[in-house]
Amino acid sequence: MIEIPDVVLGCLSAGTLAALVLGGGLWRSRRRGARQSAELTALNAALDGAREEADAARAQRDAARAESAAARAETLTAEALTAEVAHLARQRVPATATHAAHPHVRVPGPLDDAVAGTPLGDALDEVQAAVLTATAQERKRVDAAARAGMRGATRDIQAGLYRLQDVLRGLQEKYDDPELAQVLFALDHENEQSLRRAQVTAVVCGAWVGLAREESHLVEAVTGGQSRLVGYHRVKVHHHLEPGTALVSHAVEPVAIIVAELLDNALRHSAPDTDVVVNLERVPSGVAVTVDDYGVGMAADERARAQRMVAGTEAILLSELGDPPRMGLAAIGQLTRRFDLSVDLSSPSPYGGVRAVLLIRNHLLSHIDPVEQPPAASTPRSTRTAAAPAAAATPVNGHSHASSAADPTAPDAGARTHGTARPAGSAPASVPASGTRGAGTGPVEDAGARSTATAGTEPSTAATPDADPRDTAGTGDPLGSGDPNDPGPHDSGNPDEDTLPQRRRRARGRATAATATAPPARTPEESAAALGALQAGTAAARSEADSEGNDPR
Amino acid sequence: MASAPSSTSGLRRPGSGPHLPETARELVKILVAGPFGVGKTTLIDSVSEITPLHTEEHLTEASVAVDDLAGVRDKTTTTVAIDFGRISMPGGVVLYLFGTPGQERFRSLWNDIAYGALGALVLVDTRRIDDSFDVLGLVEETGLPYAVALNTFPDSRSYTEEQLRTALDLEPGTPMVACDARETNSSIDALLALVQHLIDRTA
Amino acid sequence: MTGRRTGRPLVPAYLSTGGVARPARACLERLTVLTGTGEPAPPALPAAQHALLDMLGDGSLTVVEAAALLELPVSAIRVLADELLGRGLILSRPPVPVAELPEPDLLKRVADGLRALKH
Repeated sequence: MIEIPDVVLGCLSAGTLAALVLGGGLWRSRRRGARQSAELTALNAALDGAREEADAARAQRDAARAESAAARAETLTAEALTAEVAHLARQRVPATATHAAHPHVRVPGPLDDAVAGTPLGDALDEVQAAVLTATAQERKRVDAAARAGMRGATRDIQAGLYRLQDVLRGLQEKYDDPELAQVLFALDHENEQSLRRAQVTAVVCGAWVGLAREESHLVEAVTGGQSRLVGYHRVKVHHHLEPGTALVSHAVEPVAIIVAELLDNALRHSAPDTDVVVNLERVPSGVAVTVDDYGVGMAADERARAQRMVAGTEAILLSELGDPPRMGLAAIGQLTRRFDLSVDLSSPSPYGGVRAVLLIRNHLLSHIDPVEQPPAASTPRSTRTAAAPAAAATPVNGHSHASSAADPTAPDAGARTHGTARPAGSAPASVPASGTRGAGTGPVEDAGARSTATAGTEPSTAATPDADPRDTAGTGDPLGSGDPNDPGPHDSGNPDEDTLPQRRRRARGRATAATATAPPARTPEESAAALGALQAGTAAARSEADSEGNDPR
Repeated sequence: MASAPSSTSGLRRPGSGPHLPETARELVKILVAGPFGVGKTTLIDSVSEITPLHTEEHLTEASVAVDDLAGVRDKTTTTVAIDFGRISMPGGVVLYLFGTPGQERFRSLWNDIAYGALGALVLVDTRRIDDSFDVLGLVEETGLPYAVALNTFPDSRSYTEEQLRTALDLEPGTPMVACDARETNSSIDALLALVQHLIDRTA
Repeated sequence: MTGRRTGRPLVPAYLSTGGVARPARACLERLTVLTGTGEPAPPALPAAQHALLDMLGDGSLTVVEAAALLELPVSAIRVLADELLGRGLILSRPPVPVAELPEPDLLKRVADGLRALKH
C-alpha cells in the first residue's frame, strides 16, 4: 500500500498531464475538421488551395482549443485526479485484493471512463496490478508457512500413530481372548483411519508419504488402502492380474494412499447400501486400477475441477481446499505428480456414478514369486491362475482400460477383462527392487534404552559382559509383591567377579491376584464368561486351591 | 531373533512340511523358556521337524523414516516372537515346543502359553544368569514342573554345579543339565531330563 | 527371512474377518487340529477363509500353526476356522485334555519318542 502514492506521484508530472489533455483536444477537433472539409468539398471541390486553407483553419482552431483545454487540465489535476486516486485507494485496490481470493468479486475501473487507456489510466491500472501481484505473493508465502507448520505437526502425529499401530498389532498377536481381540481390531481400524488423515494432510502440505515399504504385491497395496476406510465392507476388489504382479518399493505407499482416497470419494458419494467396485487389470502401459461407484456422478464442472486437482498440475493452496478442507483429491494430485502415476476421472461410470482410473505404468511394476511369498491371506485371489502361460494371452487390442471406460456395454468386471488381456511382451518386468529393504531398515536407535530391544542382539550382548545388567530385559520385580525381604534379582552379583547373582525361589501362585482368574480353556461357556482384557486365564488361579503343588496341567 | 533360521518358505509349499502326520492323535506341549538371546529358537530348531514358526515378527526392521530430509527415524516397538516347533513321534504323539521369553511384562501371554503344558525347560546363559530369574519365578508361580538347561557358550565361565544351583536357588529335585542348543542330541538330552523328571513326579 | 515379509504389514488382520474377533460358535484352542473335509470351496468364499481352506487342503494343522503360516493372529484364525466349520468345509479336533496329571504312559511315550530322535 505504501507504493501507491509513489506511483501516483509519478503520474503527476505536469508535462505528462498537458500532453494528455492536448491529445484529447486534438482528437475532438479532428472530427470537426472532417465535417468542415466535407462542406468545402461540396462548395469548391476543384480548388487546390482549399485543403491548405482548411488545414490552416484547423490548425488555428486546434491552437485555440488546446489553449482552453490546457486551462481546463489545470482544474482537472486538482479535482478529478484526486478523485481518481481516492477511488483507487477506497474502491479499486480493496476490490482487487478481494478478487484474488474470490474471483466473482468485480473490480471497478476508473471514475471517469475517459481516463481509461490514457497514461493516467495505465498508471492507475499498474497500481492495481502491483497490488494484485503483491497480494498473491503474500498469500502464497502465508500458505507455504501454514503448510510447513502443518507438515511438522502431522509428521509427528503420523510417527506416533505408527508406534501405536505396532503396539496394537503386538497385542493382537499376544492376547487372543476374543473380547480383547475384538477391541484390538476396532482400535487398529480406528488407528488406520487416523493415520490416513494425518498422512494425507502431510502429503498435501508437501511432505513425503512418511513410510518406506518394501516391494509388495499390488493387490496388497489396494487392499491395504481399502482397509483404511470406515466403509471397507462395501468395497469389492476384483483381481484380474497375473499372480505376483507387484509394485516397486517406492510406489507401494503412494498407490495405497491414492486407492484409499479414490475409494473414500466413491464411498461418500454413493448410497451406503451399494458396493464400490475395484478392478485390477493389465493394460498395455501398465496396470489400471478402476474404481466405480453407484452414486449419482459428478456435474461436468465438478468433474473438471476434480480432474485438475488429481492431475497435480496446479499449486495447492490450503486456503482453497474449503472448510473443512477437502484433502483427498489434493493429496492424489501431489502423489501423481511426484510418482509418475496418473488418475483419470474424465469418463462417467457405466453404472451411473463416478469412475476413477489409476494408471500405474510399467516402470513402477515388479514381480514377486507368489508361491515363495504369497500376498496377505485377506487379499482377493486372482482370477488368473499362476500357471497360465503368458504366450497364450490374446494379443492386446490396444484399448486401455482408461479409454474403454466410457464403454457402457461393459457393465461387469468379467466382461471388461477380455479387452485387456496382458500382451505377451508386457509381462511385468522383473525389476530388481533397488529400494527393497533398503530404506527404513536402519539400525534401531536407543536399543539399550528399551528393554525389549535386546531381542536379536545376542552377539553384542555377549560381547559386553560387563554391561549394566539393569539394561537387560525384564529385570527387577515389577510385581510389587510387597515383600520387603525379597531382594531384587540384581542385588547381588557382577558376572565379572566370581560371585554369581543370587535368585530367590518363588512360591507357587503368588502372582495370581494381579492377573485373571479364568482358565484359558476355550469351551464356549468359558469363552463367553471370559470378559476383560487379561482374563485369558492363569493356571495359577487354580493352583491357589491346590497348594499341594500337584500340577493340574 | 538373531539365531532364527533363515527360511520358512518351504513350509508354504503345498504337499510338504507343515502339515501334521495322518497318525497324529495326542498333541502335547512343552515350554522352552528363557530370556532373549539365550538360544530358545536354536534349541527348538535343532529338534523340530518343521522350521520353527513365529506367530509374530519383530517390527524393528520396518522402521519408519517419517522425514527423510531431517533423517528422523521412527523408533518402532520391538515385539516378542513366540516361536514353536514340532516333533511327531511314533504312536501318534505330537510334541510341540513353545519358545517363550517368560518376562513379567508378558505375564498374561505366559499364562495362555503355559496352559496345558507338561512342563518347562528353562534355558540359562551362565554369562547372564540373572536374566533367567524372571522366567524361573514365573514358572514356579504357575506351578509348572521344570528342568534347567545351561546353554553353554564358548566364552562361558565355568562354575561348579553347586555354585549354580545355589545362585538359581533350585530345589534339590530340579534337574539341571548342560546343553549346547545347536546340537540335536544335546537338546534332546535336555528335553529328556525334563520328561524323566515329569515321570519321576508321577511315579 | 525369505518368504516372510519383514516390514509393516499393508493389510491389517481385521480385514481377514471383516473386523470380527468373536467366533460365533466354539472357541478353538491353540492346539486344536483343523482338517479339511475335501469339500470344494464355494465360489463366494471370503478371501481369508479361502486361504485357510487351501492350506488345510494338503493336511491337518493346529490353530497356532495355521496362524503362523497365514501370518494372522490366533484370534483371526479362530474366527475363520469357525466359519469354515459352520460351512462344513473343515473338521476340528481338540488337543488332549490336560486337566489332570499327565498319564505316565504318555510321558513314557514322549521319552521314547525323544530317544528315537537321537543319532
